[in-house]
Amino acid sequence: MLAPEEMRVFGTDNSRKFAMPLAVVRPRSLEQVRELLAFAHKEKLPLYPRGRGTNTVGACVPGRPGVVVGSAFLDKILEISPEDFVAVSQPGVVTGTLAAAVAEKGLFYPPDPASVSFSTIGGNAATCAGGMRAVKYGVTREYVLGLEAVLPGGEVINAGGRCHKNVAGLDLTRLIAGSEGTLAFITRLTLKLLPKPEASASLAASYDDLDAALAAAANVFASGILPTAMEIMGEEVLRAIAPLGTMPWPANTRAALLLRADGSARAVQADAERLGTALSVPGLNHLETATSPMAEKALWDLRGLINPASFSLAPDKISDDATFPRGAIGKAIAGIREIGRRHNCLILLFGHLGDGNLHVNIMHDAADPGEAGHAAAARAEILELTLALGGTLTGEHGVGLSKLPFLPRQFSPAEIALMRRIKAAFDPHGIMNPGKAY
Amino acid sequence: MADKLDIAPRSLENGDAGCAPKAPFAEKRPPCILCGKCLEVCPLFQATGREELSPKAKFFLADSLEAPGEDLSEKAAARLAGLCLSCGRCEKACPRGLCAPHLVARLRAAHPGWRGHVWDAWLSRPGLLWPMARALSKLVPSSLPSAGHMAAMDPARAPAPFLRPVRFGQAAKGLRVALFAGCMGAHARADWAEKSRELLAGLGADLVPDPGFSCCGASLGHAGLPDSQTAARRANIKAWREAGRPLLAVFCATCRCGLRAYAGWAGDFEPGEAVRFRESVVNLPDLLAGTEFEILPDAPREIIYHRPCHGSGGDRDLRFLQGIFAERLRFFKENGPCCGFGGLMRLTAPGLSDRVAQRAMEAYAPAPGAHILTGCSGCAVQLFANAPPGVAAGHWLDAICHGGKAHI
Repeated sequence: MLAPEEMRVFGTDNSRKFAMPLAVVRPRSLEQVRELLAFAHKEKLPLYPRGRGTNTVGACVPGRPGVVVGSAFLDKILEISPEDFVAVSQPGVVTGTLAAAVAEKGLFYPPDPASVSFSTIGGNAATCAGGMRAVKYGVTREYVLGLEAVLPGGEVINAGGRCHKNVAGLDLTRLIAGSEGTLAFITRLTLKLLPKPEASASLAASYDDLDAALAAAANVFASGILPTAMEIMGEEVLRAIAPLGTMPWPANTRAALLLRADGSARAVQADAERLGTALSVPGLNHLETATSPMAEKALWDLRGLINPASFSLAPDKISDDATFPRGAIGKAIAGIREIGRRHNCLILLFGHLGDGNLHVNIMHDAADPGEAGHAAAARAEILELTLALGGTLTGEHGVGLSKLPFLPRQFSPAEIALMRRIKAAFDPHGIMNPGKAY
Repeated sequence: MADKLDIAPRSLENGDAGCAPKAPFAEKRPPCILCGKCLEVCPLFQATGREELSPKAKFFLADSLEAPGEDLSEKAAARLAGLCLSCGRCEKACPRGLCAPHLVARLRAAHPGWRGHVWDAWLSRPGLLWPMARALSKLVPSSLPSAGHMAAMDPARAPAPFLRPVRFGQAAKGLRVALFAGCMGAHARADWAEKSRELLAGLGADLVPDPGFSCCGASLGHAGLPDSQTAARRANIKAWREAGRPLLAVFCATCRCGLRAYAGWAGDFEPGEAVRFRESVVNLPDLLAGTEFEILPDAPREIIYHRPCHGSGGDRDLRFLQGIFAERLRFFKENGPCCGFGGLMRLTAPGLSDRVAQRAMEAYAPAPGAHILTGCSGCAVQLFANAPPGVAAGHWLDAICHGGKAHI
């Protein structure tokens, strides 16, 4: 594909950064990928792997002139094995489609990034996508047992395999997962599956103040239960979504928690009761438990309102996914709010409280230079605060282009140099997604 | 006063996406954030896997081209304008409410020479939009294709009917009703209009003589012909008014959607008349509430309901068919496939349109002898043309026997 009008969308992603590709190719076979990587290696031509461009950090943007390599036509589920508890898939399969296909066989693929129904498994693996279930089930990397990938030069490697335990050699599988397309082009994934939980229940708990919500969250872990998901919505978020529907909690609510438990029906019932007790701390103003799929959906739909609601507040947002040690979340939220006040920015705080992964949306009008400047300054301070509290710049979105300037704050020169030497071992000419990630 | 019937909600319904009352030709919309949610619902993207055809690609290209200092490239505009099914599913999925059909309509309308291009395409190729062209012959001076070119819509090829009304309900008794047959019903499938009139007569409705309605205008708007759309709307409002503002019974979901959209249009309604117009638009199956049908012995064993993208109107047709067929009716609870008819795209990219239709057929996986029924004229024709051998497809009116009697 060479027509500029057609290629334009391949020059961007959810970051809205843009650079025009030289060309876009969508291979249909391993052989075509090999040919392409052999050619590009020989010509030192940058290649930019792409699923559907849903990442938020510019990881798909072809910053240096090069060819975008789309996985759209490598879109077959090759095998689902109930005996081995694995699925084998090409990279262009939509993760939600894969999860639904394994669920039909009584199996479970847990990672559920917000984009699960429209992003691809190849992209999820390349960025090590997270999601709400990560608190209990972990992130994408933990479900990638094996990878077939093509190296620059055209050599095919098969890292890992179908075994759920495997410590032979260096773990190339887990290295490629999360490498943001900088090492190799993934052509096939072998994914770990679990037995599908029989039942689930969801709880919504709301509080008069944030400290009460955080105390309740700590109580949940102390009660000996690891919930499937534990999300928090701060007061700015609650105010934003209130006009979009009927809220289950009173108007003076300052923080709300959404939790889910899954497992066998009897265990879920017992867990839901115990969670309800753990959540009942002073300051609780509403608690409800949903056990039917429809009632659960109604609760989780509240979280789904955040994105549309956010755009009623300001036309643009800087969206980060700063992640903290669980115990530092309280300080993090207070610090981020203080930064927002100082820069007169509206900051929406919500996210995966259970694993310390906050979504920080700095709302602003990018067309207003003053607001844009304040938003950028606030963002830099928030990332500094994150590192000061022992956190990481990104829990699930990745580094891409957006966070690259901040990376030297998190890693020492020696650590970054080591990452680059590892890249050079895979990709001596630096053609795979150059200028990204580290 | 129009007769009042409590079956036409005033608010925007689910099925109105893509036809919603807005001003599509003078919009200021927020930029697309490229989140990708539209990829999940766009039938054209799903059938092709081609991101360049997705709503987000269209918005991103349009945003780039509309940036100050950049003129709309004719090539880019033509490409964008041609390749959208105008189904409106993206609008429902988009967190910012962006609607690709509106964008595409605006680009089409702004494209130099577009009007001539469309009419050339419309009239010079054998195609499914001819009925609409015929309906508009009063509005656009042009030579028209002969009826012989419309073999694809030949009523004689319709599948044998298998439903006979045995007792009519009371919902429409005594109500003044005019039939809005739409382009297809007026000019290609007169049998649909005829059966509708027979049903209305059976219901005891006071059937108003044909007021001479034009196209509903929905497809004209999507096609980037705002002037023609306006002319069609004016003609219809005038005809409705002159007929004494009767209820408008429709049997095409897209027509229903297109007519409902008048109320949000700054047209030439008298004060208070817009709401009345919208309330007067009723779905024929709603008027058939309480009517009992006999399923004839040779009826297909498997009946599949195809939900139109436009104006599924809270699934009224589905409920009507469920009332008749009960468990025998198969349907997607949500997010069923799009037929791929796509109005103008049927002409500009028939291959892509067919690919979407084939995907729909794969999703339905009809058993041999199955019958796919729908409540949209465009869907009916497209499904008919793309049904696998041994599978019938058409409008639910095709299933109804003429004259209230079975054809044996």
